[in-house]
Amino acid sequence: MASPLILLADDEPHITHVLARSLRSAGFDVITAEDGEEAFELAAERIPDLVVTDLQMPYMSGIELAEKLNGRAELSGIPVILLSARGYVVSQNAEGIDNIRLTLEKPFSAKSVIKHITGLLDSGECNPGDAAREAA
Amino acid sequence: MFRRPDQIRPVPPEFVDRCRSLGLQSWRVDLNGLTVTEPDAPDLLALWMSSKPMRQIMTELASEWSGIEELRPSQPLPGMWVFPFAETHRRRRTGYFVAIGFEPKILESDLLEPSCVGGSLQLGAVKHQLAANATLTPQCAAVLTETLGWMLNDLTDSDRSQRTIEGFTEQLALSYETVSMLSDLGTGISAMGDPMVFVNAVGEHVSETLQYRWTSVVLDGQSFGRRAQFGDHRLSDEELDAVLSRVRRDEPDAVAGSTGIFTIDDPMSPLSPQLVAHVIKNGEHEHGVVIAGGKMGEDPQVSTYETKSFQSLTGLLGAFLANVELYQQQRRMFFGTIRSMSGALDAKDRYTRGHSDRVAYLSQAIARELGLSDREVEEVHISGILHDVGKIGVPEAVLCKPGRLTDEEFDAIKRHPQIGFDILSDIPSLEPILPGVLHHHERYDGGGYPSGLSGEDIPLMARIIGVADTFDAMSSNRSYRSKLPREVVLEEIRKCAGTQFDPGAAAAFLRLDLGEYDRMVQVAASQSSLGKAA
Repeated sequence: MASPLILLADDEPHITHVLARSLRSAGFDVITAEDGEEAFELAAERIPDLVVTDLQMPYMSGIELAEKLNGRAELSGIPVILLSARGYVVSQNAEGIDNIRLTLEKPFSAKSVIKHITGLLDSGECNPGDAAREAA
Repeated sequence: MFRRPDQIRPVPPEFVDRCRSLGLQSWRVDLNGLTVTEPDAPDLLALWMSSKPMRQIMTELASEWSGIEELRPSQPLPGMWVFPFAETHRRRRTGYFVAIGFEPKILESDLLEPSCVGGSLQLGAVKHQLAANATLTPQCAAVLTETLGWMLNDLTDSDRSQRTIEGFTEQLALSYETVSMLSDLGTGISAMGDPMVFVNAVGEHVSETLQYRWTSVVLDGQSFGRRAQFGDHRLSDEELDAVLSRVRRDEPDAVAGSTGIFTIDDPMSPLSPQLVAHVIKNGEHEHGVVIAGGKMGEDPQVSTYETKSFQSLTGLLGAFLANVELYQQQRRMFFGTIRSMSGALDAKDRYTRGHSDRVAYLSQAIARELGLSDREVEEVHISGILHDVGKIGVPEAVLCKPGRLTDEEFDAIKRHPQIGFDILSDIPSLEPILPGVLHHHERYDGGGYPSGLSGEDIPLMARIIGVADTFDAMSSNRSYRSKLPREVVLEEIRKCAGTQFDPGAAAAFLRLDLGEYDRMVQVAASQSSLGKAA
């Protein structure tokens, strides 16, 4: 089985840098986007197994991205982890968007993000990337 | 990292410089081809490029470029080369950076004359300047197309890396601040002597490291019951009360972990836009609250970076205050224990009732007057309380005997410093105070007991207690005599400085205000008469 593909979206390049590096050394394949719109285009093109996205980004917020992914049949099963420096504002807004599985507050430890990602992928309910890519 | 090929941000300034040194002119225009920055070219050439026909050319080119992802160079006039590069911001095209070069054949262009007329420019002068700058050849133009592209990509990459490094640097600086804050506080957490030192350090860190205009640490309860404010702004007591009651009464607008965030509606308030409040807790026990407002810096909204720091700071503070309470409890027990020892002695010898407390009081006052450290002053104080504890081992008949003692009886009395030392020496925490107990009857001239030490060989603590002890003994009624008048006693101390007493300790004693001492004498006297009545 190929390494799980993770899409990281954050407009602060140093965040994606740190996280991408840690995820790659943990054995994941990583693609990155610097805004919500690019993230959505990339998600549609590459169909990642999981999306880690910042909340506040240009053009499309992390929540809007999650909603848009939810609206597309082949992308709706991709679990989304939201990162935020205002996590306390997110929780209410993120309610009811099923694919947002988790909100993590910045600053976060890359280790804990990896643990959460592994947990979500291992829980088996979600390995949509493989299936969707095969179907495509 | 996966990258889109068209991610080109506003052209770095180095690129403009390099174009110039390659003999190219440059021009920044918007999506419609309208000038954003005047052409970078020798003055007359710049004016010519800004003429109406030339601007017309640029707007036409811009409309050709719109919607095209990969821009190619073109020759709008024979001998004029235009190398366009898209400027983008956050992946959106915002305009074009255009490098322009000329071949000598531009001088034959039909457009040259009308463009000069329209701009009131002298054709001859423009031609002259153009000729000096028309250095391009067709081969050279082909090479430039490629190299400019590479150069721009490299410069853009380096610009992007630079921004990433800036982001890292900022983050690193913030992390250093946080680590140094936690390390500072970690070091200070063991200093429980004066808890406000640590409390103030926490308050100052919140205001300085987390950058709040106003911070307050409000401690509840009997042990602390203090309010401290930090930062550039101070609230009056009433204002602070109002803030406290809002924090205690209102639901926070948002909650991050256990940090409450309250919106300040008045934008002119020094505490706006938000108040952050975190209760200081240890288990279920609440010690108070840390509140901060008026966040400064680039982002005035409270972020989880701060709320996380808040949580660790108040966590430390909670643990610290709990320790302080335990420490204070332990100290109360410790003092209770030593007081009960000196109380046991008081019960045995009513003449010396209150004597230990008064000697302790005078000794610590002398120690303070001599400029000893807080710790040393406290040791002298405890040693003063216990200095006579060895009298527990002296027969009551000897202690309370009216009149002159026999030599044997006096020898029994003289054993009390050694007995006191022996009683206390098994208690490790009392070790520093033993010299005062053992040597308080030594004399400066060497004629004292038990060791016959003299001068500086007598521990300072003992020399101090010696003065206080003698003063109180002469100032009190004893079984064998009545108390002496104050002047007589003071004169005696003065006279014996250098023989019986350490001159420095005696002089320090003579400088003391004895008001508090006299109050202690009165209290002891009234308690003693109550005791008699009972």
